[in-house]
Amino acid sequence: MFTFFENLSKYGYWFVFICLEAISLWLLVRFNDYQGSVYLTSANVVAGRVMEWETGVISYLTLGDRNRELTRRNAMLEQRVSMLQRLLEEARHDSTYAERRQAGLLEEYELIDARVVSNSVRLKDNYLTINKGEADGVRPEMGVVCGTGLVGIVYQTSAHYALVMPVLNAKSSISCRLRKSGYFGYLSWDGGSPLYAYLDDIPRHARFKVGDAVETSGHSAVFPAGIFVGVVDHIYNSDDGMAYRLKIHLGTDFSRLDNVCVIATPNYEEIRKLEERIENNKISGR
Amino acid sequence: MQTFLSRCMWALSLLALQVLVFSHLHLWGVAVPLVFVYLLLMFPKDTARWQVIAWGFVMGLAVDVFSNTPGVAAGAMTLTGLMQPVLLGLMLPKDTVEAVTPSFRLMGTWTYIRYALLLVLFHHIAFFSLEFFSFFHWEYWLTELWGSWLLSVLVIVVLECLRGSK
Repeated sequence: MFTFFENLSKYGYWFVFICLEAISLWLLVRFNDYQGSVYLTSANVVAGRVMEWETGVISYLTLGDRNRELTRRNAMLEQRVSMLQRLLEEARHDSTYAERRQAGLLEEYELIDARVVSNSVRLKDNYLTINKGEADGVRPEMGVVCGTGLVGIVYQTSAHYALVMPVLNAKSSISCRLRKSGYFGYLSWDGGSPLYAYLDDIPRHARFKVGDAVETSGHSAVFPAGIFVGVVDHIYNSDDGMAYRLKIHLGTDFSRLDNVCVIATPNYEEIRKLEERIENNKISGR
Repeated sequence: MQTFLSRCMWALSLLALQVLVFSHLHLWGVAVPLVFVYLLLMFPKDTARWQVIAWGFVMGLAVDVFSNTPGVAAGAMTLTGLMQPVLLGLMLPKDTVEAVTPSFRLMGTWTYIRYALLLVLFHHIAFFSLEFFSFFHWEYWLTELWGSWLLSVLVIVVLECLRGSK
């Protein structure tokens, strides 16, 4: 009996080690499907506060850069507006219906401004934390965009913060299409450079070229159609040779993300219920 | 002798340094200094081994919370906590008196740097392996390991100099 206790005090650390290591691995593996784990990320109140404060300081230091960028973008947009205005005037007849429809489409979406308080681009599964949460109307599976295009999808939310799964996450898969021809595929990322992602499942008969714009397809309730994603950078064949795999130069520079918008769809619940019903019918029909 | 309180202070300072400063340094796109492992380097010889392991786990978990990588730093630090007393035992001469806190003065500069290099390397291998878990870019993994390793040890040696001069 004595030797048993002696051994326990001598080798007890193995027990501690195995327990703690098991907890770590459990966290590592289960993080993605365990909802409560949001408290173990920077979306919890303490970490969120600290990161928000820090981002405040840093963004103050980079104001000059931001200003230049905004001015440039402003000039570009102004130019674009004047060009579009000219085009619109040329095509004045029969445009009233299209205009009304476009305005109606955007009215459905409410935009929630948010700031990125923590961000990473160098992992395999990157996440970013924004400073708006359930109290501001942010819910999981809402789309997130910024001035230069697509960012990602809200993944988990706490009261005042939300965790966003950006395009730069190996688990992210967003339906996107080629702006010109409308052929669609799935945007994914498999690590490496944060500037590039891949668009899979583009059919063999689709015609396009390097430099073509890619936008969201609007095939889900998350994003409206037509949000800019990036441009085609290189064309590959898919592994099975049945489709194209396009390397996309992303429009958003994730390593300097600051201000973003969450797209809140008021009809979201309705769409989801409908989808659920279809799913149920499929199962019961079998 | 380091007391529990001063160890807490070190843990908090290292956490702040890591999260607010070093996690943002991503030199040449590959090297991130991971300085929180310094906490484990400071444990004296003959500390109860479960204590080193537990401190490692808590420190790792705290870093994980701030960097959205649950389990990665915690797992690596727990493993390093298991390793530290073994490595320290190998580095110190057999007849060393008990409870020696590893430092430049007591171990000699080169022995200490060797000790830091080895333990930090061990930690970094564990950390980056856990981080890349299910998918592996060999070259990226290696460059990131190398770069971060040398950078971390550099920062730790600087910290050790500061601590010694106090």
